[in-house]
Amino acid sequence: MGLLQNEMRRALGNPWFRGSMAVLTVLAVAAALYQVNTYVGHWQRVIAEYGNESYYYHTTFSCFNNWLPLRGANPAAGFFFVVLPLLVLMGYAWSLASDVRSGYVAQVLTRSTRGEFYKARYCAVFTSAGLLATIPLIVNLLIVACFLPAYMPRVTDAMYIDMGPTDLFANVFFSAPLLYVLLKLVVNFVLCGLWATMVMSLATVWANRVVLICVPYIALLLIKHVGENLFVAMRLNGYEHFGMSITLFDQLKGSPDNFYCYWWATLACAVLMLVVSIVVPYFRRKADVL
Amino acid sequence: MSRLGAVARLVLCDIKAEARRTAIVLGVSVLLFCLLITLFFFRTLQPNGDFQSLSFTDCLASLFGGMGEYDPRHDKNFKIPAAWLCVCLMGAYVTLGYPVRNLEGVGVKQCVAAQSRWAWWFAKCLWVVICAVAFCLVAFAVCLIASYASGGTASLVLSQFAPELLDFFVAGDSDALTSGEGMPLFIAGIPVALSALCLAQLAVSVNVNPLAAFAVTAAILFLSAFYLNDFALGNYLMIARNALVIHVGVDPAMGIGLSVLVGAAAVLVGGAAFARHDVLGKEALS
Repeated sequence: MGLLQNEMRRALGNPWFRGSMAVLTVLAVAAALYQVNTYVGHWQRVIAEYGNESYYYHTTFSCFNNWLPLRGANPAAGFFFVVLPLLVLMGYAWSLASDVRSGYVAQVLTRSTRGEFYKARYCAVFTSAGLLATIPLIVNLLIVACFLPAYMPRVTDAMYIDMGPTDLFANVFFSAPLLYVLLKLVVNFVLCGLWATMVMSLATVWANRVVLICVPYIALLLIKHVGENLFVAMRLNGYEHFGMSITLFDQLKGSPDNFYCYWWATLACAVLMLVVSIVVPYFRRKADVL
Repeated sequence: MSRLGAVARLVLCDIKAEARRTAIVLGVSVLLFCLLITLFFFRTLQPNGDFQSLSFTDCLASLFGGMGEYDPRHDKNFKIPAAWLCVCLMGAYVTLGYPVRNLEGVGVKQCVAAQSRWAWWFAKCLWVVICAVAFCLVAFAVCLIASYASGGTASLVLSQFAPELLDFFVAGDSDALTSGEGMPLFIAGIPVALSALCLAQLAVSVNVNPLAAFAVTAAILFLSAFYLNDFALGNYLMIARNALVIHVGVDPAMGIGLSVLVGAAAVLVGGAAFARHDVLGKEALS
C-alpha cells in the first residue's frame, strides 16, 4: 500500500504530469470559449435578422453537442486530439526507463517483490494517463454548460456535430447525453491508460526514454496513415463498408476521420494494448535492473 | 584558427561516434519512405488494374505533401496530415538523442579539452545540420529511385492525379503542374527548414530536456499544419502550402531566408544559454 501511495504521489506530483495537464487544460478551455463565442455570434445574428428566436434551431447549441469530442471543426479541439496521445505519455509513462537508469528500481526491489512494484507502477501510470485524458474534457464540458443550455440533442443535430450512426455509444447520445458523456470519459480514461502502460512496458526493452516516447507516437501516426490508405484501397475494390478507426487519434474523438468507429475495433485495440502491457514485462521478468 | 580546428575535430568525433546509430535510424527512415511511397503508388491503381507512373515530385509529394489550407470557418474537421508529420518527426528524431547523451558522457571532457563550451556547441550544431541534410538527401534518393521503378522519370512536374489522391488542392495554372520550374527552390528549402527546426530542437534539448525539445518540435509542426502562415516553419516543408501550388501559399525563397534566421538564432541563443548551463552532476536526461 505504501508503495502504491508513493508511486501515485510521484505520478501526480511530477512536473511533466502538471505541464501536460496544463497544456491540455488550456486547449480544452480554448475549445470551450470558441464554442461559446460561436453560440453568442449566432444568437446575435438571429435576433438581428428575425427579431425573435422562433427560427432558431436550439438543440444544435446544446452543451452536449458542443462538447470537445464532438467538435472536430474547432481548431483547439483538433489540436487537443493530435497532441493527446503524446502528452499522456509525457505524464509518467517514461518513468520506468528513467528509474531503471537512475538505480531507483534496484533500490525498490530490495524492499518489495517485482510483482508488487510493477502493480503499483502500472496503477500509477494508468491513472495519470487517464486523468490527463479526462480532466480537460470535464473542464471543457463544465465551461460549455455554464453558457449553453442542456437541451436534449436531436438526431438531426448529427448533421452539425461529429456523430455518425456507427460511432461508439451513438444511440446513447441521443437518448441520454449525460450517460454518453460518462461512458465516453470512461472509454477515454481506459484507452489512454492502456496506451501509457503499454509504452511503459516497452521500457523493459528500451531504457532510453526519448526512444520510448518518440517512437510509439511516430508509429501511431504511421498506423493511422497506413490504415486510411488500406481502407481507401479496399473501398475502391468494392468493399464498401470496410474501414475503421484503429488508432487513438480517432477513437478518443466522438467520430473518427472519414471511417467508421466500430465498438469491436476499439475493444480489439484496448485488448491488444493490454496484452502487450502484460506480455512484454512477463518475458523480461528476469532481466537485470542494475 | 585553433578554435576552428577544435570544432572540426569534435565534429569528426561526433560523426564517427554516432555513425552506426545514425545509419540504423536512416535505414529505418528509408523503410518508412518506401512504405509511404508504395502506399501512394497503390492509390494510383486504375479500375482496369493498371498503375500510374510517378514523377520525382509525385514521390516527394507522398512524403512532403502535407495538407491544404485548413479553415475552421468552413466547419470542416481538422484531419492530421499523418504521413507528413511522420516524416518530419522522424527527421527531428534522427538528431534528437545524441547531443545530450554525449554531454552526459564524454561531452564535459570534450569541453575541457577544447577549452571552450562554444566549440562543443558549434560542433553539435554542425552535426545536427549534417544529419538533417543526410536525412533529406536519403529521402530525395528514395524518391528518385521510386520514380524510375514505377516507370516514371525524374521530372519535377506534379502529375494531375497526385493532389487529388493526396487530398490537397492545386491551382489550375500552378507552376508545379505545368513546368515545375520553381520546384528546385522548394526542394532546396526542405533541408534548410528541417535543419532550422532541428537546431531549435537542439537548443531546447541541451538546455532543458530532450523530451521537451521533441514536444516543442511537434508543437511547431502541429501549429504549421493548423495555420498557413509565413512564420510557421513547417509550412515550408509542405508542397500543398507552397506558392508554386496555391496562390496564397508560402514563398520558398522566403522560407530559406526565414529558416537561416531561425537556425542562426537557435545557434546563438542556445549557445549563450549552454555557456551558462550547469553540465555537472545532472540526472541522466535521455
